[in-house]
Amino acid sequence: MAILKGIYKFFSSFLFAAIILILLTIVTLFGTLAQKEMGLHGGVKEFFHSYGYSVFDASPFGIPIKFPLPGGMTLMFLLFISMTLGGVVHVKKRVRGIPNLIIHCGMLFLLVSGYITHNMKRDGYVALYPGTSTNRAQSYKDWQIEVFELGENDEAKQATVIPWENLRPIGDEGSQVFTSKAWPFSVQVENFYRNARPIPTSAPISAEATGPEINGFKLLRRETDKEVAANFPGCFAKIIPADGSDAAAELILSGTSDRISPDDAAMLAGFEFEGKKWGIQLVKRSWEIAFNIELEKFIFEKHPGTTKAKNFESRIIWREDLEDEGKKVAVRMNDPMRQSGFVVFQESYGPPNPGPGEQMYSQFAVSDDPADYFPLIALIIITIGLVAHFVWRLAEYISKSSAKRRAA
Amino acid sequence: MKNFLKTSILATASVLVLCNCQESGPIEVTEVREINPAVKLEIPVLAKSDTERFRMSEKKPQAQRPATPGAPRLIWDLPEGWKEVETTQMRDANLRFGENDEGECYLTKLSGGGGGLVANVNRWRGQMGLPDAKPEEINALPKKPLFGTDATYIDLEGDFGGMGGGEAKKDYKMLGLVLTAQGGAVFVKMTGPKTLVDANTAKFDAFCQSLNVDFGAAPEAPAAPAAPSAPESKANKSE
Repeated sequence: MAILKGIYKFFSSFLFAAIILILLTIVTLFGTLAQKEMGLHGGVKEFFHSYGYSVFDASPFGIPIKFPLPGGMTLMFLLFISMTLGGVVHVKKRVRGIPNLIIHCGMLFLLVSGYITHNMKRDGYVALYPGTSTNRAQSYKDWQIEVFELGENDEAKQATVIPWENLRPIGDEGSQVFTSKAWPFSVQVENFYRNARPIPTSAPISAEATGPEINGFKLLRRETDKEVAANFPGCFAKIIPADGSDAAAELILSGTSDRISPDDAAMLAGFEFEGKKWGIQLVKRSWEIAFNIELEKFIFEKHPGTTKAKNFESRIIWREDLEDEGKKVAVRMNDPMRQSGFVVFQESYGPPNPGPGEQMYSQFAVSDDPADYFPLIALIIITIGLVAHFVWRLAEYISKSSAKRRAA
Repeated sequence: MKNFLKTSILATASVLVLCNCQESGPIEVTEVREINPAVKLEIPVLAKSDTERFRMSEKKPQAQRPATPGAPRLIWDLPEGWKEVETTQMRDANLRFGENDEGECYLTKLSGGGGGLVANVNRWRGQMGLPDAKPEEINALPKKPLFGTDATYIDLEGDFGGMGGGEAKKDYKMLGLVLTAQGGAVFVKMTGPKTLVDANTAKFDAFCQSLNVDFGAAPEAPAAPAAPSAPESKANKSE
């Protein structure tokens, strides 16, 4: 019991809170410096989203530095414990402490909202040419395998999806079998490389590729690029009959088969199984958004005499139902559209160097964050607490000053 | 306390064993994506071959983007003895030379940075059967003018495997200019038998210097391809 009391005392102490805050400052500093060499995504994942510990190994000032740092998520959990025990549980429960309690509750709410965002937020993008529409957002970095049953004219009605959450753990050397009620076979995915290219075996560089040769191609694994969008995954897929006999088809799947521009379509690999046609593809993870976006017009203005963008904005029509007339909205830089829990930002455009006769497309960042408004709520709670604290202390001061004057 | 520890260890071990069993067996997938026939781009295209599927041919699965009426045009001086052939999705200028058209020269624009200078030069080196060069070596390559600015000049010799998956062609030479910026890239690439390319090097330089944009009666001048400075696009486009 004495040990538990000691632990409680330590976790609720100012000393512990100060240690956590100092460590958070150090992790923030070196995690940010590391992003220069690791890329934005790599640095955030390694230092801020890690639960164990990370090793800083970089030369931020031209001097090689290597030392371990605690994981950012671990520190945030410890900060949550410290604030809960020290700022809420341990404090004396009295009326004048209420503002302080409100402030701590606001900060705890902010930490909770950050955790929800970290685990549940989905970031993706939508790229559209004027006159086109979609209700799906694509991931920047996650991928999925889609399997289609094809009709007589190679048309498909729906895809069964092997999601990223199941593909990622396979890794370079792993293998995983997937089944679906929609398939009379199973799909075995092997060697899921985060960055790879299919290389024709006639190319001399194919000698560096490992793994089987399929239809004159091999899969050449590449180093993972620090910019996640530059990585195109690749893997081998085997179509295994239900009786477990030899593979009916073997294929190389590559992210290079995905759409290469907003007016392009992904390319399916076809195979036959028991007299029926099927298709399979490795494409960027996509998900439905709550409404359909149509790009009506894209406005692009440049600084005079330069090719530098001065302003770009999109006139869009959003519809919850495709039958609706829809509502027109302008989405500009720093002026997003918020609708049905989604936030649509004007992100970029393309092609960046439009050639003769080329239309331009507009690219939107689409964010789906269940805790989108939580930081605002937390800020309001904290502000109420701070104002209450200030007013309370002011009233106390005025009251004491008056009492002193009266006594004098 | 001892019982608590024992229970905890047993519970943890059980969870680990269960997790392990779950991962080694088949996983049943249930997620479905409905294809919306009204959204043309959601409809996948069945590739006729792996070459097409891996984007190693110039066949375009969708119709070419419509040209904006009255829009500016890419212009150039056609070197003597060269001829123009039809442009493709990836080739905005497409030229041939040599007795049997075995030499080719074309201009490609890529959005999204096109992977950057180093990746593209190493991709070209790979096509010539050469190992990757170090970034500092690539950054130190000579420059030549293209669209009024300095582009990186590439001069490679080797066996040209190209992108089509055929036999590597012996004793080939590749000349190229690469212009990359944050948001896009322009490539001019010439390949052919070494002797033929050597004989046409001066014409390649002249062709590159002649490349320009004819703004004509365009209602609004477009961004010159020389210095794209748009924010980086996430839509990748690969040759």
